[in-house]
Amino acid sequence: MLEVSGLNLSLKGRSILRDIHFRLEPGQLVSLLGVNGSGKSTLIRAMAGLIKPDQGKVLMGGAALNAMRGAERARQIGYLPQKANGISCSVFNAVLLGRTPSLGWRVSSRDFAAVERVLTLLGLEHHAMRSTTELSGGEFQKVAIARTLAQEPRILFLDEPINHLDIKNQMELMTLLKKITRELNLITVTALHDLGVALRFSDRFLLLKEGGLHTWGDRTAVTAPAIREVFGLETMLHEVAGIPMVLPLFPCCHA
Amino acid sequence: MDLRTQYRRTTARKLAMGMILLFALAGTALFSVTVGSLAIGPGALLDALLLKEGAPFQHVLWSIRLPRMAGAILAGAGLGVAGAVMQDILRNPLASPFTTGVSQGAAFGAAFAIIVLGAGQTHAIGNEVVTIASPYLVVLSSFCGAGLAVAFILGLSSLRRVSAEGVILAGVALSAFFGAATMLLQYFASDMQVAATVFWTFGDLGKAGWRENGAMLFAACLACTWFGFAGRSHNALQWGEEVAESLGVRVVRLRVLSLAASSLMVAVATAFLGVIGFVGLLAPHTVRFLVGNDHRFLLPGSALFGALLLLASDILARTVMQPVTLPVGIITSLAGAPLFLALLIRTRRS
Repeated sequence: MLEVSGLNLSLKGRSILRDIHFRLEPGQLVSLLGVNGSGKSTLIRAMAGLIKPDQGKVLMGGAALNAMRGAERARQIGYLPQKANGISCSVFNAVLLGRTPSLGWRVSSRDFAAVERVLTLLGLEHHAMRSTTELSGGEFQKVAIARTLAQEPRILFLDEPINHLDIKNQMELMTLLKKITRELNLITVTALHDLGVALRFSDRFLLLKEGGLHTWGDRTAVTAPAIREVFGLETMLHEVAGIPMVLPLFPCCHA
Repeated sequence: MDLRTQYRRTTARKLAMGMILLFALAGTALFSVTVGSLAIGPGALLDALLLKEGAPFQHVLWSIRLPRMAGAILAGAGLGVAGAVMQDILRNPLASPFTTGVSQGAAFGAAFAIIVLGAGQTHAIGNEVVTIASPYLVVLSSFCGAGLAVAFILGLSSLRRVSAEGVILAGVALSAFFGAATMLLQYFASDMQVAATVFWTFGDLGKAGWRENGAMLFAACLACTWFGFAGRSHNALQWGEEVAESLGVRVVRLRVLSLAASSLMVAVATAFLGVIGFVGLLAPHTVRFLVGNDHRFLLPGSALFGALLLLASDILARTVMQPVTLPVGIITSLAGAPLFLALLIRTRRS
């Protein structure tokens, strides 16, 4: 269980996150929603231990994540930043990078096994020796996720993982994330912009507004009034063939 | 074919590339001791190497040719590794000790020690104009000069919105600054002291003796111990600071220690031999092309190729205008500048 309580964070004297509380269970794919500048990336980075909060706790199964250092934390948390720029190397080496916390000078057979397992899980096993520079955007993103999975973490934090992908790759990647979250019993937190995609794939929702958590919970938390308050947008929520749809109507005054 | 076999095969290919470089280096090293104003044949070389009683060339070989060869290998290797490390830390393909002003900072430090701190009580002994009274003071001062340049570049590159070219432009400014500061010192120095500092503008391997080589070897061993640990972390850093951090790499420690180790090697080489340009730029790029971006192979490869490059440049410097021996820094700069321009154009495009 991932438990965040009383999280406060300010950067350069400006308060970015205020009093964040929530609890998530393993096996849940979680959408972090909010307008640009609402603090999504900062919350993810604070939970991933990359920036230190002023106050508050991030607990995983009772152990404080933000007190852990280096390699210990890397075995718990996989993190994918928003801007993923790669270098030229083989897909295998790019995924092997995820083994950095436990890797010596040589590659052990445990490391091989972990990388092989992840590549197979993501359907990348035939691309292992290709160069990362030859990959499409969708494939590259899969490789980046494979790297975080090779860490064998219990939590994944993905900052806008589908932003630069076409619609087919968006669907593929979200389906994949749902699958691995279930199969590996992970807690996967993704910052997303597309409300339709979020509603369709996620189990839990965190709605951030101006650095505070406006609402959190399951599907029932995401209502037209909540969206109006968080995004300043009038919407209609529908279901078509059992798939949730968010129809944006018009921007409205507040928020 | 399964993954492990494929991976082992690519690793074996990289190791083979390293072996080829090693053999090429050994061959070039052997060749380098035979050429010069006195040509030494293979038989005579063997005799002199084995210290056979009464063998000719013994003095030439052991006091001139061999230390010169060892100096080229050690300095070239140090500059090559330093270049590869700086390119990773600054995430800048144009970075090297020379293009960021670190070499010039080291040269200024050396001149400062000789002229201001009085480390260079220079005497004219034969045609060897310079003897340095306290080499360790020169090295220390040189290391401080290099450290100053590194701190400046590191600070600048940590600011947002400073492009790869911006860092190099700052390097140009820094080089000019250190160059002017060195000239200022020289302006007020005695003729002897000026003679002792002038050669730092262009590196010359003629000043490599066994004592200097010992110091360079010591610096190289220290640095390599650290890089042996840090190879993996450097691989992670290539993917960005945050990714490296999330993989458990302590990024600040890595940057500071790796740059310190690099500047140590550059400072020792520059303090004894002068500024040798472009080896630190050329070596990592060639090796990247041969073995890829994995620092476990890139760093030793850059050391081997840097050594090979400097040794070959020195052979050229000694033979191209025989009997005149050119400072090796002139050769490396003449050959390296066009490559730097080509890289600059390529970086601009991508």
